[in-house]
Amino acid sequence: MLRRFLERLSVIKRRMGTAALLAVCAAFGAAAIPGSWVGYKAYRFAWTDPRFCFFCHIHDYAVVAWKKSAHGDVTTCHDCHRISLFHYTYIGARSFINPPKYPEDLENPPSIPDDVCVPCHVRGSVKRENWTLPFQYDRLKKVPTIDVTAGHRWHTGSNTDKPTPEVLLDPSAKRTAEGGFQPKGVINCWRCHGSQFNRAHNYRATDVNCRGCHSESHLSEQLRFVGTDCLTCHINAFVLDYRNPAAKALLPEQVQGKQKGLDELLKELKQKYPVEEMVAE
Amino acid sequence: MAKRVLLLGIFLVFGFGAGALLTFFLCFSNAVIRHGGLW
Repeated sequence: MLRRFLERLSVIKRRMGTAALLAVCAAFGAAAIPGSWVGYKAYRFAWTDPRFCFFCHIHDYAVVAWKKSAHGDVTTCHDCHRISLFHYTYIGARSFINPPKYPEDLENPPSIPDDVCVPCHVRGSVKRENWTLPFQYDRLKKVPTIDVTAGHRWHTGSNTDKPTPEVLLDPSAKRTAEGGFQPKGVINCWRCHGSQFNRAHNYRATDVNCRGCHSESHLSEQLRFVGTDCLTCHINAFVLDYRNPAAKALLPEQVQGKQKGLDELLKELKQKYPVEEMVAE
Repeated sequence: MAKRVLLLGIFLVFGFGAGALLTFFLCFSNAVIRHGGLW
């Protein structure tokens, strides 16, 4: 193979002359340098600009909501919607042949892995070399983390048989024999920060999310009439350090001692994402 | 002479395209793989 290549090269050399061949190779190499710059710019566009996704995904409302949200400009589409190279090539080629015109044309709804929030919002879960976000890794300490807030520690470590908002609105959803709803499982991020009531990048947990499990809790229904929501009173539990007495003040007494759930989750995550040093508090 | 200039032009275009495509592919696939999604 190499021998044949060398033979061909010598034939070309004889026909063109060594100087001409060198000139051609130099031209190829010289043109590749500005070409690389253009390629890098194209990569930056594809990775950081939502308009790249518009080639296949018709959803300008989602981009507007993302830009207005806390995640606007500090994340890219790819940081949360993690898809494979196969998707980009296969679906990209299909969309090129048959381009979508409306949001309903989307064949593959966006998927968010359960642990996508973890690298930024649980301390010590991401390595610098895996960092692809637009904002600097060193600023990670300023991002709110859920592993130190009482409300998040309690919720992420709990199991529930209460219905999600989707199940509540689905007339075909059937109660289980025990009176609970399916699916039954761990409360993960999207149960409060997702669902059809805060779709399209509104990450705030809404009253509907809370009432999915807490519909019978104290005054939630009455408080709706005076224009307040659950977080007006319970926000401290979700933003302050769990060791801060103010964070515990609004949680039921029996909740305060139960914080082992996230500790177990953290243990699993540390095995999954081994890091030498935790991000300092 | 014209043939050589034409050849030089072709190689310039090919070099530019190859550099652009290779850089785009390497950067993009590197970012995707760092997210953990090859397939």
